[in-house]
Amino acid sequence: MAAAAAPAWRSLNSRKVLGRIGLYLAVAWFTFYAAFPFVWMLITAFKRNSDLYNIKNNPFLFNEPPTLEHMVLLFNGTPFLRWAWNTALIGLVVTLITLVAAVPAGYSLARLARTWGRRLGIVIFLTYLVPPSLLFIPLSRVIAELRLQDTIWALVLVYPTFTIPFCTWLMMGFFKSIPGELEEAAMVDGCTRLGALRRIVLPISVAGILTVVIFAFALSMQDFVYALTFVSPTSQKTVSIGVPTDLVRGDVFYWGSLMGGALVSAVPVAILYSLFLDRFIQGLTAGALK
Amino acid sequence: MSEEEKGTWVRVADNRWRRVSRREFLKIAATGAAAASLWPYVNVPSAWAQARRLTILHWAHFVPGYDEWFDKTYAPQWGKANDVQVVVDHIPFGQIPARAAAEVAAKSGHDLYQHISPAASLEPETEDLTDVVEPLIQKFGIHDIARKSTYNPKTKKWFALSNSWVPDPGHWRKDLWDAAGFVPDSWDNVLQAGRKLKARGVPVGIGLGNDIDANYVLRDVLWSFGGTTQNAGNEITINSKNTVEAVKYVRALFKEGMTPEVLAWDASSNNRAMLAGAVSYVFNAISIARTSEKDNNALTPHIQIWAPPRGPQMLGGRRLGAQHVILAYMIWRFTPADRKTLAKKFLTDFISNWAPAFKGAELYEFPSFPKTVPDVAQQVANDPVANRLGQPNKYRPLLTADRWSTNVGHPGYANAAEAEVFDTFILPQMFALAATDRMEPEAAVQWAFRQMRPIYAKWKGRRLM
Repeated sequence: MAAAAAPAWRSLNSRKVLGRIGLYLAVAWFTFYAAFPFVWMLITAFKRNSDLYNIKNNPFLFNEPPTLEHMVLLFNGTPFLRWAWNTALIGLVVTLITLVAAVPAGYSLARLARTWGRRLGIVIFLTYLVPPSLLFIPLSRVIAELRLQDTIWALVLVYPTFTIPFCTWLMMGFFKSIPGELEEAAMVDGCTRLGALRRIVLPISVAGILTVVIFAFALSMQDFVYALTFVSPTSQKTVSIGVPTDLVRGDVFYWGSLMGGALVSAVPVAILYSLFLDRFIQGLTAGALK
Repeated sequence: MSEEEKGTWVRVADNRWRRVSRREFLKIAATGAAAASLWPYVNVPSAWAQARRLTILHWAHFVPGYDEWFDKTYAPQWGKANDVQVVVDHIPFGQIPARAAAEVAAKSGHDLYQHISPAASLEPETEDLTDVVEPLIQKFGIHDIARKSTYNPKTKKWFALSNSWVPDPGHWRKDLWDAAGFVPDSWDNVLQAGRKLKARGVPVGIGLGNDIDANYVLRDVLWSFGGTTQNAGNEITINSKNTVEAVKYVRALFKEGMTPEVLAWDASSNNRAMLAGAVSYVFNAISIARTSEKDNNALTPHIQIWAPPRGPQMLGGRRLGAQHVILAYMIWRFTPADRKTLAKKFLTDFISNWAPAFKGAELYEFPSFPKTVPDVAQQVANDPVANRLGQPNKYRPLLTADRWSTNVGHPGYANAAEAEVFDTFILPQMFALAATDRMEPEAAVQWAFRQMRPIYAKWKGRRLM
C-alpha cells in the first residue's frame, strides 16, 4: 500500500512543480512584456545615434559608451519641464472634476435609478466610445465660442467628456458590489442617504475611487488629438503634443530625446500605479467587512 | 507662548488687528503661491484677443536653426518695427490638415496658416491674396511650381502664397552603386542595380505606403513613363497605357529590387533605412544627407544625391520629379479685417526679405519668388558643410532642380481634386495593389481612375476647377 502511495505522491508533487514552472514562466513573460517598453526607452534615451543607426549592432546593448546628449536636448533644447507641469496640472484638475461628477453619478445609477439605471449606464459608457477624431471638429466650435482656444483650460473642459463617462461606469460597478444593507443599517441608525454615502460607502470605495483617479489622470495624459487641435502655443502644450512637435522635425525623428521624454513622463505614472496596486486588487467586500 | 507661536499681527478691519499663526501664514502663502503659479494659464493672450497681435502656425522645420531664426530673430524684429506682437506656433507636419479642419470648423485660429502640401481644397475658406502676390511677382518673378500650387485659374484667386518649395532628389549610396556598376540616371538603371543590390542585402527603398514621400516619388515614376493624373484642362488622364507601363515597372522593381517593408513605410522610414545603411536608394528632401552630416554618420561620404532618373527612351525619356514640399501660407476668410491687413503686410515683408531664410534652411527650401535670392547657384555650389567635408560637389545636382521639379497635378494645376487625390494616397495604393499582385496593372489603373472620378466630379460641381 505504501508502495502504491509513493507514485501517487510523486505524481502530485511533480504536477505541483510543473504548475509552479508554468506559473513562473507566465509571470516572466508578462514581466518582460510589461517592462520591455521601459527598457527600450531607457536604452535608446542614452544611446549614441551612431550606435542606434548601425544595424550591425545589438540593439539591446550599448555598443558605444552611453551619452547624455539626448537628455540635454530634451531638457535644454525644449521646454519639456513646462509641458510636464502643464500635463500634471491638467491631469489633476480633470481628475478632480471627474471625481466630483463620476462618484455621485455612479452612486445614483447604481442605487437610485432602479430599472433604467443599467441601461443609462451603458448609454453613458457608449459616449466614451465616440472617437476624439470625430468629436474634435464640433468641439472646436464650442472651445472657440468660450474663448478657450490655445489655453490649457480648453483641455480641462474637454477631457472630462471622456473621463466622466468611463469613470461613472466604473464607479457604478464598484457601488453595485457594495452590499446595500450597509447603507440601510446606517440609515436605520439615523443617517441620511448622503450621510450614509459619506460615512459608510465612500470609505469602503477607496479602491474604486483610486482607480478612477488613476484612470482619469492617465487618460488625460494620453490624449493627442484634442491637445493638437485646441492648443498651439508652446507654453500651453502638454507632453503628448509638445514632445512630437519639437522632437519630430519634418521627417527627422530625434529618437533618443523622444524616448527620454516618454521615459520621464511614464515613470511617475508607473510608480503611481505600483503604489496603489494593493488597493486595486483589494476585494471590495473584504474592505466592507473590516 | 513663544514668539514664533504668537505669529504676526495682521489687519482684519480698519480698527481691528489679530495675530496670524505660523500655520495660517503658511496656508495663506501656499494658496497665494498656487494662485500665482496658475496666473500664466489664466492670463493667456488668446489668438484673437488683441488687436496688435499676429499669430502664425508653422510646421516644425526639419532644420531647427530655421525655426530658431524665424521665431526668435525675424518675427520679433518685424513685430518691433511694426508695433505688433508676433506669436509663432508649431505643429508636426502630419497634423497640419487636422488642425486646419479644426480652425475652419471653429471659424477662428491663426492669422497665417502654413501648409506643406497642396491645399487647394481649402480655397473657399481662404482670403484672396492677389493684392499681395501680384506685386511680388512684378518684383521678384514666381516659380511655376508656386504658381500652380497656390493659384486657381478658374476662380482667378491666389488662395495661398508660397514662400518656398523643396526639391526631392534621389539619395544613393555611391559606394554600393559603384560596386554594382551603375548610376541612378534612369529608371532602367535603378531596376538593374536594384536586382544586384537587393541580392547584397541593400535593396532600393521607394515607399509604397500611405506616406507623403511615396506620394511624391511615385508621381516621378508616373511622369517619367509619360503618364499623368490629369491634363492641363483638369481632365483625368490616369487611365493610359503609359500609366500601366509605370505600374508594371514599379511592380518589377518591388519584386526584384525592394523588400516588402516599403509597403508599411512612413515619411521617416526612408531616412532611418538610409542612415542605418539598410537601403541603397531613396527619395527625399536633403534631410537625409544633412542629418547624416550632423550626426557624423560613417556613411556620410557615401550618401550622395542625384536628380530623378530618366524614363524609358521609347516613352519620351523624361526626367521629372515632384517637389518634395510646397510651403504656402493661407489667411482664413474669417480672420478679422485688421488682422488680415497685418498678415498681408507680414507676407509682403517676409518674401521681400527672404534671402536669410534660404540660408537658414541649409539648401532645403528654394525660393518661390526666384529673384529674392539672386545667388542661389553660388550658395548651392559653395555649401560650407559640403566644402568642410571635402565634397564640394555634393549638392550640385540641386542646381538644376528647377528644371526637373514640378508640381503635384502636372501638367495642370495642383487643384482641389489633385489635393484630395494626394491626401487620400490614391497613387501609392494603385502602385501597391499591382506590386503585391492583388490586381493586374491594368486593373489597378482602372481602380485609381474609379477613385478619382467622383473626386473630380465633386470639385468641378463646386466650380473650383
